[in-house]
Amino acid sequence: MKIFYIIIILISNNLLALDANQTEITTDEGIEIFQEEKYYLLKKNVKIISKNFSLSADIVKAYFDKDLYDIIRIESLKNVTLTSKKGIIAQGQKIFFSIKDENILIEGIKSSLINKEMQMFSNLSIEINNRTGKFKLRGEDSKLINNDLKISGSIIDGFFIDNNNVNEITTLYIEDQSEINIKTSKINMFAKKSNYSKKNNLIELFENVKIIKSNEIIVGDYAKINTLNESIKVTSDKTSNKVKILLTSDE
Amino acid sequence: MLIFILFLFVFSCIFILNKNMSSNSNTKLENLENKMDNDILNPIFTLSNKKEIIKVTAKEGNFISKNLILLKKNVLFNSDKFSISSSEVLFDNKNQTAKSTTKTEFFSKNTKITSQGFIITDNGNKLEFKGKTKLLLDK
Repeated sequence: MKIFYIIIILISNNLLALDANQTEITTDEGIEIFQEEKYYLLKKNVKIISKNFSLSADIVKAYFDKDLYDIIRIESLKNVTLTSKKGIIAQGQKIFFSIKDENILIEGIKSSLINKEMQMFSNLSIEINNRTGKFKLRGEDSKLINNDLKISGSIIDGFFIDNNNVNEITTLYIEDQSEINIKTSKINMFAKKSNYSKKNNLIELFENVKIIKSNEIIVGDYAKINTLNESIKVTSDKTSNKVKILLTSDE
Repeated sequence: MLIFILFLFVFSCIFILNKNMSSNSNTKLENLENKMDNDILNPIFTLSNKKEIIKVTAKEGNFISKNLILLKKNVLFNSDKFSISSSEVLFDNKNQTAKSTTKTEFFSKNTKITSQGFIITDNGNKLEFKGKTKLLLDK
């Protein structure tokens, strides 16, 4: 037990040893400084610890501005994990992090980003700007999960705001060549494209629309869903001229 | 008894004096050997590129070949922007490069690097720190 306490004290002393304004970078295979090009090349088992974020990766290019201490942009490769003080956990094969404008771009298979209650997954790319709230997901079957909302598509663009320390999605645009999916606790929606506006409490679905709610399946070309009262309006274009409602039984 | 004490005193004095002389001559001999071992004492070189001049100093230096010099003890690379210190550095005066495999410290404004060696190439534009390396930035 004593040893355990000693270890805890040593670890906390180590953590406290780092000044609040200091950034500590350690590597196993050295650092190269390119003075003219203004970047550090950090090699193997790179760990960066600063007051606002921590990062681990195998290879890191850290760009500095005027002076060597003024790091403005980080490009990291292989098994990258970025954790920010604001609650973001980003993981992927490549992470590009702009410190000044808080922009994070994750590339490669199994890219993921967790920002409090917002979870993003992609096999191509995820981009998020924590300052403006803008985000972009690219790649087949990219996923966005926010509380009881689950979205999939090959293009997911949107904005979020921090509302009392809770991330709320304000607008969304979803697109997929084959099918997008928006699933809430009560409605399951399919289409080729979709728009969401929190301000108007409205989800719009375009092309090959299919909505499953309780025991009903509604098919059409265009749909409007009011997210407050969950009312659904489905229409068809002039060429197809059909809206189908299928009633299914629980049995 | 008095004679015996006097004898003992004189003998001790002679012994101490002799030892001191021998020690001094040994130190002088070592210094002389050192001087003979080192081709240059307090060598000064420069590395220069378009933007900066890096002054290279050390306590001792040995010519390995016409352009290769092994700098030893308090080796210091100093420019307007940074300084690098190490205990032993192989300096190539012709190609304007330097290499060390001993503990290295780098200092610049709000920046400190400690490593297990370093290489300077591209006339001082590229600085490479080898082995397990720690970089501390103060902002």
